[in-house]
Amino acid sequence: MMAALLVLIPVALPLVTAALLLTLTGRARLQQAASLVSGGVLLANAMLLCARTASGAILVLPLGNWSPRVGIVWVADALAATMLFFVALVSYTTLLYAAGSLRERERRYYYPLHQFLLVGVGGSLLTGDLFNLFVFFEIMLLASFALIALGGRARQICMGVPYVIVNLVGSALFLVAVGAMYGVAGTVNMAELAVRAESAGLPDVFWGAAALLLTVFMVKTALFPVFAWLPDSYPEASVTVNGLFAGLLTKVGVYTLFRTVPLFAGAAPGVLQPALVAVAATTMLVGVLGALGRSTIRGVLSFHIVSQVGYMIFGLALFTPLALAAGLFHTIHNMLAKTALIFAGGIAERIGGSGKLYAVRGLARTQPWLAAGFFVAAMSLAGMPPLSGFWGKWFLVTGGLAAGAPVATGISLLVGLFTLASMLKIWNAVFWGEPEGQRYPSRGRYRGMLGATLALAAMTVATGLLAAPIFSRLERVATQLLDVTPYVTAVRAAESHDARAEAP
Amino acid sequence: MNSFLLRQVARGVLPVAVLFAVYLLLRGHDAPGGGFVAGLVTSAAVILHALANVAPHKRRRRPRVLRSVWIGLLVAAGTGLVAVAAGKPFLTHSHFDIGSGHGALHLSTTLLFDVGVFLVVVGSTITALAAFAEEEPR
Repeated sequence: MMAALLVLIPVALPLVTAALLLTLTGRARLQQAASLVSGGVLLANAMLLCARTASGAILVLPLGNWSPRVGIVWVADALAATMLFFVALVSYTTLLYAAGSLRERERRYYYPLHQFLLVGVGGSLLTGDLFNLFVFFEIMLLASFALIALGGRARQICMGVPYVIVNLVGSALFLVAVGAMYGVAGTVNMAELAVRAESAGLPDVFWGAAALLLTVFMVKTALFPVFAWLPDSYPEASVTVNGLFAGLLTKVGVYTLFRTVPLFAGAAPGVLQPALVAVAATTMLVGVLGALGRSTIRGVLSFHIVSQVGYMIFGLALFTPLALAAGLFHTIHNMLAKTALIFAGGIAERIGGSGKLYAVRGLARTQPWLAAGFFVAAMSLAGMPPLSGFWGKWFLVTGGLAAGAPVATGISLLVGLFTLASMLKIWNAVFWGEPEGQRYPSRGRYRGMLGATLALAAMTVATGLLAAPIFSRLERVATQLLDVTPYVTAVRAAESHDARAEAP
Repeated sequence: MNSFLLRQVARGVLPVAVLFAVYLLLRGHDAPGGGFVAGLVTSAAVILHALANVAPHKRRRRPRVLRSVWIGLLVAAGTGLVAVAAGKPFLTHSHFDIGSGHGALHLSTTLLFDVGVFLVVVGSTITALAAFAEEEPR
């Protein structure tokens, strides 16, 4: 009962909250307060879920008491629980940041949409079957379409349209792939699919559909060569939305790859691993070079998301527990550090009235706390010890060398240097030097905005200092993920005591 | 749009479409149909009616059906949560038979869930389409 509730809340609570927030339309303060209460419950729930799954237990909730073979299951294992915790954390800080940052027009619908996005994210993390993964992806994307155009400015809509089109085409292909898999394998349940893939005998059509699915996930994750929708659309969204997307959206794509690839990797054709390594390495490099070429604060930071996603998938592509755990560590580090950077950049943008590099200068003198928050997060992203980014890269490099991928590992080190360069580019342009162009200094003083930024920056420090215990937990997660058997057994076990299910 | 033909068609279509939607809604649990399609049929009929009979300047930019979205969400989520309160998994539905034998009426709480879905679909579709129904670009 308790277990069922823990699995239910990450999806059901945001849904009910969203409906209730809609009744409060026009009363933004009340909406924010209600969202924070709901967010707090979500955070507590995620902590409990982490505690319950830490020992390797997997909680399975068959919806409507149907057998997992035909019905819908939600599965919470250690990976899903860990991700849910950091999603709840980023979401909470975003809500703190939102009140000061949103414009009047944006404020009206932001909070319910934030909750709808959480419904989609929570569902995508928990669902045990591919079709519902599609459904929850759609919920997440619909909310994100509305969020990205929330300000209603012409440029926002102009840059939002490619985002919508690419994602809609991606979703259509997603559905085609899931349909084809269902036609061939007779199920969309991930555990069942893994069993059938393992027992062989699946025709080539299945692997074609799996490849299509993988491509769709690559689009959603913004991997090379299908990342182009991201760098232009994200910086146009408002800062709050940009931070939320950076923290959650592509990371859900990363999660789905971590979830699905190991399930099929054992039986998949041999080209999968080298292909993934190549994609990851190219993504790292192209992303960081693109970021260096941008001329606005959030432009650089948003292009950087692409590069960082490459690191996470690099960890996955190596298929060793060590590398997989490193990829997960990097994902967590990035959710915190990247959101912090975008929030800090957003405050600088408000003070200067423009997001262009060199439009506002010398913030380190006038806004020391803001500068400190940015600096810590930037150094963490660039991989300076003892911050979280250093450990993320360290684990990846050791994992990469141990798994025998020296070229890609070398590229990841090179990209680290470029990352440092692009962070210094922003630092020099915006924070260093004599104060200049600070047209609206009072706008940077909103406590919620600065508080959220500093909280996230502090968390990257904490993650860095606690790297050893966090990493050993993630290694257990990775082992469980690569083993596949516990997941399959847990989902199938939900079926055996299904006798109480009444036939409709 | 001021068209005699369209008005006559819309007059005939509206009641038939709404009846058909109710039919779809009721049979939804055991046969093709359900709250989602019923909602789409209803919204299509309402939009056709608005296009034919309501002068553009009288159309609301935001018709007041948005509230049916949250009411519908709460109804749908509520039917699922009742099962949780009773200690069963989320969305477990209960079934009742009224009467017995061949003429028995089979009812279940899935109907309530479908009504919730219906309300969400009607509310969101009409709101979205109404934005397009404006003739003058803002």
